[in-house]
Amino acid sequence: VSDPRWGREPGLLWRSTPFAVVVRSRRSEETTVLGGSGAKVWELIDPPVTVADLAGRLAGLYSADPAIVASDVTATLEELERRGIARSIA
Amino acid sequence: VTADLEAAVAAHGLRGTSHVLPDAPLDAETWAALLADVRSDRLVGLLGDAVATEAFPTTAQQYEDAGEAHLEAMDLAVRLEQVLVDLADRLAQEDVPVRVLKGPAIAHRFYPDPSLRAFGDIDLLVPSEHFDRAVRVVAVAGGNRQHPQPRPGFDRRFSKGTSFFMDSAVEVDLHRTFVSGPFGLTIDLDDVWRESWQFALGDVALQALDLETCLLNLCYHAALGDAVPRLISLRDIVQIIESDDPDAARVVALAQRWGGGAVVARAVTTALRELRVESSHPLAAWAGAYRTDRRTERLLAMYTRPGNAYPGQALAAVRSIPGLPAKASYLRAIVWPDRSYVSPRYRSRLERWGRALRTIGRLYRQD
Repeated sequence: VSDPRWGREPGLLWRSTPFAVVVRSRRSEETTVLGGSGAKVWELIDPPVTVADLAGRLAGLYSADPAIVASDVTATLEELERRGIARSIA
Repeated sequence: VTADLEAAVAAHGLRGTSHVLPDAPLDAETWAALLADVRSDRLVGLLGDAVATEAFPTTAQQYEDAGEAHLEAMDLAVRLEQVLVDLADRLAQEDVPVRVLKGPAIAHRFYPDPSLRAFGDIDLLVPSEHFDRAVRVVAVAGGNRQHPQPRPGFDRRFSKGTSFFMDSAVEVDLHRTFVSGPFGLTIDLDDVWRESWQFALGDVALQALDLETCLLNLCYHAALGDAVPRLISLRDIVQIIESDDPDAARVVALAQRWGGGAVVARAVTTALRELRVESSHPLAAWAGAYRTDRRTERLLAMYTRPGNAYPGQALAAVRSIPGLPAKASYLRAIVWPDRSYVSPRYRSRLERWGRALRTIGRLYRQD
């Protein structure tokens, strides 16, 4: 069984600015603002990727340990899912 | 000082502009004044980009201010787009055709990145024959109409459109034509609806105006919408001319058929002058050579003189309404509107007439 991939929820309204990413789902009453590594995660999950791939790319970008990055990435993705702007695709 | 700086921000990223951004951070007072103007004129996307790319040097605090203003504006943009897609869905379910005007359509089509173009409301064009139904749909969606129509049927026959505040505190303008008064009434709406450009927001397909008609809409808005055109409206015009190469012959033919040659020429020359762009586009040469007759100058002045322009425009519109029965119906509505139209703003019809006559008298004396 292959690892699930993570991608953006379809139908989102968003803007990517030099300062942060602003995202809103069609039904949400809140806008999510993603800065720093959150914005990078948002950028890298389109097209969808596995946690391992995403962690590897972020570890390369930030010269960090992929195992530690993977744990942070999973938490971030789960938070984005809770906010209705990312989803895991089996 | 800030007017010149603001124009330089409005011209940021345009090829061929002679505006120059500062080469060192501004003092705190000038920065605060500029930021306030840029926010109210919806130029924060351009300022944010200029600051982030270091085309506009800032202090750390100014960088933070620019970022905060940009994110606020983009939060509003996505909230407005949320309302837009909801209304577009509802109007489609009721078989009301829609064209998205200005802000969102311009941001997604003509700018290198939609975050460069901030906007503060939603503008939708609907056909005259569907206008009353569209008003009902927006009201059901939570829209509170700002002003009633003078008499039933007035909107779908004569008005520019009407405005709503939604429950979410955002403004939605339903348009039947581009502007109020004589220039709005002579626009051939069949021309406007003939073609379209499709785009998507979220997972909803939307229709906007085709390239040339879109440029015409922006020119009417810039030249007639405010006494002093907004810099973002002027930037839109130059952005389209310089990046999308609209068909000048088609733009001119439509403008002249609608009796709006002077409107478009004024908008194009003002945009190029204020943003200091030397354009080689054929529209620039045409607009520069355009000569406006005295009657048209007087009509243009109805829109651009300071003060309440509505009474003068309303009276001048009579000549543009075809046929005596329609003229009579129009005059009856503006002279003797329903009480519900009068009462929110005036104590009586008499007070309304008095104010209108004083405004019209002032306009003609200024002539």
